Amino acid sequence: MATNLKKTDVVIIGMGAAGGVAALPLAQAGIEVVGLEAGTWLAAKDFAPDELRNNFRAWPQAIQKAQNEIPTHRPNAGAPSSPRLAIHPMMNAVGGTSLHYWAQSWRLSPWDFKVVSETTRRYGASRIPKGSTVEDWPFGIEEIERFYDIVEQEIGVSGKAGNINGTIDPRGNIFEAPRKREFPMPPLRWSEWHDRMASAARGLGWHPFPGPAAINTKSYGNRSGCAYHGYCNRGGCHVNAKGSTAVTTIPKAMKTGKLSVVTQASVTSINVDGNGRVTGVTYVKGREEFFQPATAVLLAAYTYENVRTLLLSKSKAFPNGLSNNHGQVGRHYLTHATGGGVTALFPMKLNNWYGLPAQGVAVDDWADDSFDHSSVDFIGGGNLFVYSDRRPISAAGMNTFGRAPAWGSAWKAFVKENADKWHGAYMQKTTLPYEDNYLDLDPEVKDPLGLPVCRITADFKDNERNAATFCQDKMEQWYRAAGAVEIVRGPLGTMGPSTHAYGGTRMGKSAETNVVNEWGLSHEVPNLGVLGASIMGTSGAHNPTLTVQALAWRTAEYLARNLNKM
Amino acid sequence: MTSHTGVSRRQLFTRAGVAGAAIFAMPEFSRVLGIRQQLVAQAQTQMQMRTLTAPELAALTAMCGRIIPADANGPGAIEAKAPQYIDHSLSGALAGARQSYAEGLAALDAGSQQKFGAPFVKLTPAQQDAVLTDIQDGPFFNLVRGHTLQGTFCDPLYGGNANFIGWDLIGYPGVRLNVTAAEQNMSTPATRNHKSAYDYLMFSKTETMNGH
Ligand SMILES: Cc1cc2nc3c(=O)[nH]c(=O)nc-3n(C[C@H](O)[C@H](O)[C@H](O)COP(=O)(O)OP(=O)(O)OC[C@H]3O[C@@H](n4cnc5c(N)ncnc54)[C@H](O)[C@@H]3O)c2cc1C
Repeated sequence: MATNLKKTDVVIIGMGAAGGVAALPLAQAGIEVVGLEAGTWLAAKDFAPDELRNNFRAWPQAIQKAQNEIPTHRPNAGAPSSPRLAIHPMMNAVGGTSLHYWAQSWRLSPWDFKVVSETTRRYGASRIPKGSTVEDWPFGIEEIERFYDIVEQEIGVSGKAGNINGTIDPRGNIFEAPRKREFPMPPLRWSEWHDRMASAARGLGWHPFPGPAAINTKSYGNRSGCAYHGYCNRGGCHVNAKGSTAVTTIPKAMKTGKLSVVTQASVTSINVDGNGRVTGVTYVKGREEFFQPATAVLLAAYTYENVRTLLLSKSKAFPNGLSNNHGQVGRHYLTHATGGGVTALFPMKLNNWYGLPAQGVAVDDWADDSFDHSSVDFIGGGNLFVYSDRRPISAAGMNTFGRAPAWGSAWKAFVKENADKWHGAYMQKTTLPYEDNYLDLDPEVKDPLGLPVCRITADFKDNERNAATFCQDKMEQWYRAAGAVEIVRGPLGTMGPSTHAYGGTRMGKSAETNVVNEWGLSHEVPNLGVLGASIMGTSGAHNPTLTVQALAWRTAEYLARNLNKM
Repeated sequence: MTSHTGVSRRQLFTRAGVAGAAIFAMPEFSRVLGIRQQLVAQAQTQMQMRTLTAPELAALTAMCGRIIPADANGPGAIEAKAPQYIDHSLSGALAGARQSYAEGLAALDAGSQQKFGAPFVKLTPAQQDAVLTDIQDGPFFNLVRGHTLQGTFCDPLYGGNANFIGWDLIGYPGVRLNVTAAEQNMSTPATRNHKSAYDYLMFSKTETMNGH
């Protein structure tokens, strides 16, 4: 029997990048919030600069929840399951994956909100790929500019503006939508390597700029500037320069006295009454089960767990899972196409041993709708990104570009000479949702509590493949212009478990095709909200988290205003 | 990390009777460092042959020695203690690969017998290379190759990259907690400092169970 706890105003499930942000506007509005977090607190001492631990093994978090429920994958409903991933790098801790993410903090571009109408207007309706279920967002980027701005200030984002109220500054991203003011901090510094890549891009007539990052470049509030130590990629920050919610919005919300965080609390279901209203949530802590009643619930446990929790929360009112009477939970699933990389060999050492993956040169000339798509065979595009990030094991694991065997003395001589002479670009490409790409529960594979894990049924289509090839061509051109002597291209890969997973609880005006409304609240359950990229219907060409956080703030602010009506 | 080195650094300090802030007192600190080195040496001897049988470890060692041989470019995987790293990791984070090692090393000997009439360890380096060339595209070879890279280039905490052999080979300058703009430039790279993450005492070591 579950122990009944005292009722609270709002329960947030998951204190990660999204839930950790949403807690603040609620707490500041005087609303009692209980944050239920499966993991524990982590601190600087837990963030050793250790490549084996961070990059080759499952993170040594006390609670291995993400690791124990890695989704299964199959490319289509008729195909057998792909081999299960050994590691899924999402974090279970207060702060969630914002503790050890790369912290690139992008705003999306205006096109990402209007893929259907803008594509139709510019190129005709026939350019929307067949089978895609893409819709316009219920609002344009103007609606969330204010929330982008708030979150950039709260978590501390560094960068260089390219468009302040319509005034273009070529030192920033000239393709970005207008922002009201400059970033809170100047961008991460560039080394000679960055300068070299930036001038090569300019030589091609492109518009390189420093990528925005939730990383301090000087002391900000009570946190230090970045130390550029080289272990930021899947590593926590030893000087708290990374703006994870564990060191920004969560402690700030706790200071109001309105947020209490319960750690090692793993939610197993969201409970409803006979009228289909949420009454609270059931969670397991240790071996005990608790019921936490609440006026409203915000689900913020990352895409796979958001979908799984809804599907597992079955009741009389919702026999197919919570908020799923229209059969939309799990639909419109997509993951960022980040495979299909390009790796280059240079004739000189790049000195990339230190730095961080967010310290980079970005090019948006080939992203979204920055260029005319009349004569290409896809819509959307990619952000091209080069950065300074190298650690010994992965450096030695380099591609040998057909110039040396994979082992033995000749290999050893090759890596001795070239370990610091190669670079691999990060390219995020538009991915669209399709009818036959979706999430549901795996019929066989279970987590340690005996609950089914999420199953992914998804594959890239021609639009993604064509965009990927196009971006590889552009990246090769860029590397060659900077002096690369060899280039290899990687395959686009499969759509297995991803760190940029979108959809499954999509946001939109119609309940027929979306789970949540334009405020992020369920169409079917008035006092349930969903936070995270699971509500996003398009990916754009940039990482999701800043948008996720802007949307989370917006939903929380709306909830704070309307809680008394719930 | 307890299972990887036998004793954790925190335990080492505790055993040496030094706790908390006292370790920062310099004369005391170097005395403790000496004790620590002894204990680490002890732990490393204890940690020989933790998982594999003696013949398995011998075959693996020979294999690592051909993947990254000692040669004109300096010491290789054996000197870096990559085989020991793999052996004890197979009781920890790499336990899931134990069975693959048993089968793979048996197959390696069978292949050596068939081709040259002797087990792998008894072959000449050229013969060993010929046997490995036969399997170099297969899953077992690539498993061992990946783990040999881990054991050669990992933080020395894990028992591999002994004497910073791996990091010196590829020119990694070592762990620094604060890196200057100059140290990131192509024209003014950092100098080698031979520092492990755990030479900085602020970090705790926490066991990781799953690896690949
Ligand atoms: C290595 C890496 C690098 C990345 N780099 C970037 C980047 O540069 N820029 C970017 O924008 N994005 C990046 N991402 C993606 C980014 O981390 C995610 O978009 C973001 O963290 C998602 O926020 P979230 O709150 O939905 O999930 P999370 O931040 O993962 O938080 C979810 C939280 O919910 C908790 N939880 C889960 N289930 C339950 C349950 N049942 N009960 C209670 N609690 C639960 C989890 O423990 C976790 O703390 C990266 C991700 C990884 C892994």
